[in-house]
Amino acid sequence: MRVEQSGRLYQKLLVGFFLFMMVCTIISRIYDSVTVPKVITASTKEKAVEKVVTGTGTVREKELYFCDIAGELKVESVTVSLGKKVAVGEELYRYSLEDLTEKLREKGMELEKLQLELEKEGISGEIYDSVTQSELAAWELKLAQREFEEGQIEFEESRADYLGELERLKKEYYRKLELTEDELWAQQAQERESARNGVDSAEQSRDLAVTEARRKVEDLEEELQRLKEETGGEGETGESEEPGKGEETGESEKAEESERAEEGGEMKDSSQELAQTEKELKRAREDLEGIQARWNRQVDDARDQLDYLNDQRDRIRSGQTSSQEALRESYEAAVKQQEEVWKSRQEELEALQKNVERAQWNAQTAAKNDEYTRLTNQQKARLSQLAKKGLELEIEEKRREMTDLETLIAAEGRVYAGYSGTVAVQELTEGKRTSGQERLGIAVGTMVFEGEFEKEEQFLAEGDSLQIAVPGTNRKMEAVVSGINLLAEETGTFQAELSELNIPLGTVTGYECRKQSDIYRQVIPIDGLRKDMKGYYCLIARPKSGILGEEFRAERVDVNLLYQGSMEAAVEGAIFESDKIIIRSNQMIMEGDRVRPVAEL
Amino acid sequence: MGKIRSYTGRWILSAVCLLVWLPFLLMAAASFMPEDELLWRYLSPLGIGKDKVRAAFLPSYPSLEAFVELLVRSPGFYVMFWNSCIQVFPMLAGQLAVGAPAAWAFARFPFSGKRVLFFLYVLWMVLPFQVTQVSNYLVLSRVGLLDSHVSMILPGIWSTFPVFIMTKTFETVPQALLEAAYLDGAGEVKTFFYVGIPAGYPGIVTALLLGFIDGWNALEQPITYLKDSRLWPLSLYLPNITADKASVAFVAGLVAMLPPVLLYLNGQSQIEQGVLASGVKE
Repeated sequence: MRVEQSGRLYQKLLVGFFLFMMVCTIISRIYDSVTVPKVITASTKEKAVEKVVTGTGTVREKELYFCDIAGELKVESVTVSLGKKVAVGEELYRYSLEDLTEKLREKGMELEKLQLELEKEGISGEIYDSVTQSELAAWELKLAQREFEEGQIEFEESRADYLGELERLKKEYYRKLELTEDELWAQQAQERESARNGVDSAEQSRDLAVTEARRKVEDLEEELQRLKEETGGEGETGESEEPGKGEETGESEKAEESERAEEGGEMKDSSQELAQTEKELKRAREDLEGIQARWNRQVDDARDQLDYLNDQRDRIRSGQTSSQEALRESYEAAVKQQEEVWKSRQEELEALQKNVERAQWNAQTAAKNDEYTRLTNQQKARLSQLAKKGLELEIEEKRREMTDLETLIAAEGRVYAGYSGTVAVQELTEGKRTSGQERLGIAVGTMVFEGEFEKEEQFLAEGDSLQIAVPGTNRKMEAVVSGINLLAEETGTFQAELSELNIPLGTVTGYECRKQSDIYRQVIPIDGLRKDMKGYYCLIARPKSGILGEEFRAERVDVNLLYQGSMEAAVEGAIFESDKIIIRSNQMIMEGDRVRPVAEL
Repeated sequence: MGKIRSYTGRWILSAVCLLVWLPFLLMAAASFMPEDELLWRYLSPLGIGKDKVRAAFLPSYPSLEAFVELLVRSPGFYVMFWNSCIQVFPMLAGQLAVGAPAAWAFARFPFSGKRVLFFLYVLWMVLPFQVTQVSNYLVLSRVGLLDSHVSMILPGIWSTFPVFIMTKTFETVPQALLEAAYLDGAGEVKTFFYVGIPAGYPGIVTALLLGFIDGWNALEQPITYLKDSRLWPLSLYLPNITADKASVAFVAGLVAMLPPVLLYLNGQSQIEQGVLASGVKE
């Protein structure tokens, strides 16, 4: 019984299994028919590809004339608005009369200032003759040469004196050799007294000479200070005049002279006088130093002589030396002193010769400096002329502005249109003061349509015919592209002249341009062209034999895009005329997917 | 002591027997796994990577997705299922129509050359398919039956294995029973249909069931004779499934296994008797 029951159960299970499989078969078929993507296909054709370029553009003026708007004037009223048509002579706006009058007064003052500046420029440009550096240098050279010649004469005279003095000392020595000890002692005492008097005399003479030379230096310093104050010059020149910096001072003087020449100021004469005084001061200081040195040396010599005689006396008293030997020593010392004097004379002459050479060199340098000064003066004159010319132009401009203002005042501030056209730009506001940056433009003549297009996808060229929508109507007007601008990176702009003039300026409207390509062998609908990382491709529904019978599967065919239109594309690839190119589907499909070609989705 | 030994032996034997069920259990578990878990556990056997196998009897995230995929979204599976039915059941009918009379003749009628002929039958039975594959192909090609269901049915009809099984069963029919039929006026045909077939029913069922399993699982024959994939039987479904539908393959294995199992359960007692009969000598 139990076996029978289980047997029946197994039979039911077996039958049930097959029934279940039958039901599932039906369900799966229904599900399959629902889920398999439906596709619409198309085939390739040999034809031209049409590209429709669409976009928007703006209606603009072809020519635009702007009114001259003066700055800092109150606008009393504006009688035109944007888009209004105006005729020649029609009032555009009106300035405040009070502002115009005030502006005219200001312009008048500015004109007067400019005229004064012009006059000042004329005066400052005048150049006067003065003593040149060459002349000064020539005078100094002459002076140095004369001093040298006088030095030569003095040198010759001192040589005679020197030789005569030597002879006299020799005779004196031989004469004293014959004197007794007492006589010699008395003689030496007399000589000591004479030497002491010599020291006093030398010190007095030195003080006198030094005082005189110092006074001269002080006078020149005062003179220099006065000149500096007069010219307003800097104190560097005086400060640089320190003893012991002769050459450096000389160089700084030249530099300062050059600077002054470059500045081209009108203090030329004062500067030259200043330079002359500085030079004299420098010499006076040198003279002072020379006098001090010379007289100090003479005083020292006299003291040495006195010390020597005192020492000699002490030595004779102590018996270290005899009167005869002392006499000889004195003789030899006197000869030596004369020789030193003679040597100093020679040095003085050499110094005078060097002075002559320096003066010659200064004369050469002064010529160059004079040439530089001449050129600087010329430059200054030219610059002055240019400045005057600029000022004259400014004066002329001011006069013109004043004339304009006067004209405006005569018209009670009203500004009239100079051209017939449409107001395309209007930035004036009633009751506000102008900044000079505002614009009021009148569009004259025909209007143009300006639009943009993508350079890669929607290329337009000159001569292309456009259909431009007339705003507010269903009508379209035709225009021909007259200008192309391709300077932008991705987009280009074009201009097309409009035949109709009744469209408001600034109107934004759409355009359309249909362009036909060459004939291509394989033209497919644009929806059939796909693109991924590998490039362009098409999915073709090709029949395949499968378990369920013949079924269509999406097969990828790589293509090269030759030309892309708005609705179609010309391609090149392994596609036959009989191939069903998938152009649309009710689901996302990929390569290898089963598809079902249908007439409509 | 004897009882303990007996129980221990049973437990050990039961445990060993469970090893036989291991592949089935793993397959059943895998059929409930989602695709990602299946790939993670069986990457290496599926030919993806060299990661270790992480076999499990229970899926971490049980899912019926594979069942839905196979039973609802795979119409091709049903085409192959019904192809198998179309090819196997007529073949079984043919085997019954041809094999049963032949077996009856071998079992009940003495004739010269009977032993030699039966030996040839047995010899033909033990020959592998590959030996007769070419000759079968040539014959089917010559008669224009290639790439059709008949190419699968016709060679199966002439299978020698059912004849062998049924011969052995018919030989067990008692002679007295046949003589009684004759005495009642039954001819040879009536005796065959009214005595032989009922008496040899277990053998016939056994032969048909084994024939069904053989035909249901046939692999080389459809590969050789069928080029049109629309005619392919279910046995070719699994080899053509891709790795990304591995879970579907496990479900398909389960479903494909059901008809033989159910048929076996229905004819279980007859099979046992039939197999027993084919091995018993009088």
